[in-house]
Amino acid sequence: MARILKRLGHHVEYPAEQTCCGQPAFNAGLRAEAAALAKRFVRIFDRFDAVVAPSGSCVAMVRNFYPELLGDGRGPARVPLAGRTFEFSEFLVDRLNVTDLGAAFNERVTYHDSCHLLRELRVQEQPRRLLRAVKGLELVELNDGPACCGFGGVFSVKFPEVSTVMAEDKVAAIERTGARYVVAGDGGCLMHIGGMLTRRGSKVRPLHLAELLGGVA
Amino acid sequence: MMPLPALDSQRRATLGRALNLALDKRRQSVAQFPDWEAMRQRAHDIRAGAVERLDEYLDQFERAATANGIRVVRVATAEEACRYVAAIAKRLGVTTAVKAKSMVTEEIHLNHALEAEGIRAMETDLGEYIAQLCGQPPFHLTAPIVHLSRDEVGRILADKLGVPFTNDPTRLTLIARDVMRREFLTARLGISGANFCVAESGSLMLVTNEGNGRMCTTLPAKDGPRVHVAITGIEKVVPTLKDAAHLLRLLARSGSGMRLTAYTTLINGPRKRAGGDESTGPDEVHVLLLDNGRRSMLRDPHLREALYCIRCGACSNVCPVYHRAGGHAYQSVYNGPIGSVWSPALWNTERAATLPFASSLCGACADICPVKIDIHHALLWQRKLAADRGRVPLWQRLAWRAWRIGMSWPALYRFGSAAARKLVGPAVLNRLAKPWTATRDLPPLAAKTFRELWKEHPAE
Repeated sequence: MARILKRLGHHVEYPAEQTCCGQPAFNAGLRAEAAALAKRFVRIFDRFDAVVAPSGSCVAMVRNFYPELLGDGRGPARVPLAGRTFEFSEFLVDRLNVTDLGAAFNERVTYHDSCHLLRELRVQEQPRRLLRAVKGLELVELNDGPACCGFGGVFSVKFPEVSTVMAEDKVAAIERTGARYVVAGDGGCLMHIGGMLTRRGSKVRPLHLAELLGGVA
Repeated sequence: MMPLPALDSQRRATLGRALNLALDKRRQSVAQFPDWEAMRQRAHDIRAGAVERLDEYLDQFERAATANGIRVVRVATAEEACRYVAAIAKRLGVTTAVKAKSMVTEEIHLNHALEAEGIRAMETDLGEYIAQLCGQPPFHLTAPIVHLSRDEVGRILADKLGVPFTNDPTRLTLIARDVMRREFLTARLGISGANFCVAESGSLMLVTNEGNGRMCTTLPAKDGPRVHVAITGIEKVVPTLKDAAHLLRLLARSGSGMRLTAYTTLINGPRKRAGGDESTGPDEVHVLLLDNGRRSMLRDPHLREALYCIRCGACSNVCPVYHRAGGHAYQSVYNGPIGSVWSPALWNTERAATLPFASSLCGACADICPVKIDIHHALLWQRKLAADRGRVPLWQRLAWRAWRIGMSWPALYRFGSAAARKLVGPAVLNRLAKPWTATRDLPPLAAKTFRELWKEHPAE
């Protein structure tokens, strides 16, 4: 992702002191712990023009939940950084107006809509436009909803039975497409789907959109 | 956290077929409206307006209904509601009551309460009747036996009623109808819920698919006075008939894809005796407006929206967790996504407190909700309330504190990740992550962290 942004002429920095946006604690109901990390995140990133993350759920946390989390109980807080934080594919397509990165990938690929990308950020077309512009790439749609893969952070270990069945159904849907790669914009989903793919001995490989576009795959 | 088991694969397939059929029909039905989103927004606004001025509309409803001859009673708790109904049954001297499907009567466990008083409450919604025959709670808000196959329903009726086995839906329905007709013709106490209480006219709106709601509330028995008791939540009030009509357009479409339920009943009061022109209808109509925890949701701005729910069941139909775990796994009368918002507000139990966590927060529920309730965000709020109330165990809270401290100090964070990668190693990590690794692999650990790579070649 950093390489792509740099190639497009942007100055990219990686603040070494960054850690986590706080989403796991927020989702666990522990808002004081989450707020401590949210404040830290804002302090570290506030000096940049834009914050880009290869993760829909981290961006959803900053953009959609920081104002509520950092509010004083009477109403949401004003978090200017929330408006400058973008998911990778939406940043390319909506902000930079770039869809063709000159990448080539001679494979059949399917795309998994990560829930937070799709339903918190309403990012659906952007990654598809980027994929369609890749030379040689054949994009096959998953025909399953779009359904959650069952990751859901700690949900996957707190409720492993249901989470596992969700992942099995997701992997079955991926295999029905005949794709060699499943691409997504969120590391959590990819780790979950990938963990089920290898456990089932599938030949399909998980791949982050940025890896594919950056030619790392 | 209490576990949420998954159904076996065969049951999941039966359930999935039924739920996906409902979703498909909904999709087709919704596609006929060029502006379904605007219809949802209007429905949201109607419900928001009603809930924001709830007491005003409740008073208006009470005045109008009372003028129509309906007895309106406010009840605070489940026990109070059950006592009221039992007292009516005793006064009438009946030992049987016929019931239309009602989730509120499930919520207050009315059937058990009546049974303890020697009164048999007979369910007359076909699905609910079959659930009652096998002693099961409803599996779904609107479809009590959505998880059963035709064959299973046939076997239940054959077992319980001693009739020859059939799996033909028409014949099954006729068998149940034979039993119910006898009850309808002799019952003197009818019990129902209400889908909407219309403030301007004091009327109750009731939707059913089998006409049983109408049978339960008109009561054609001849000997002695006949009474209809409707029990409903305080949140079911809507300002006008026009508002109710709009919500009606979304209710059945969202739940099952039907344009309307087969029967829409509007109840305006007991049988009028003055002119002697009404030969059917109950002698008394009572409406119980139940709180039972709803006011606690009304007071909380993050939960208030959940009171907009019109109980269509669409959020369950689309929920990936509901599809795999099924309704009974929730162990709560209100199951599925909206049920997991409601349950902890109604019941202060460990089970109820677990439910908001039993969600991957995918948000499909909020997208399908016809009254636009932000269901998954309300689940997040319920998680916060659970933590505030000490429902998250101490060791977990300490672990989260330690995690936060580690995440606040980059040196600690680097040390932790290096220790995990170099000292602990994948074998131990895999064992620690047993709930994950039992069914799924963990990715191999990278040789170098991103931080290390960046240090060597910034943005290369």
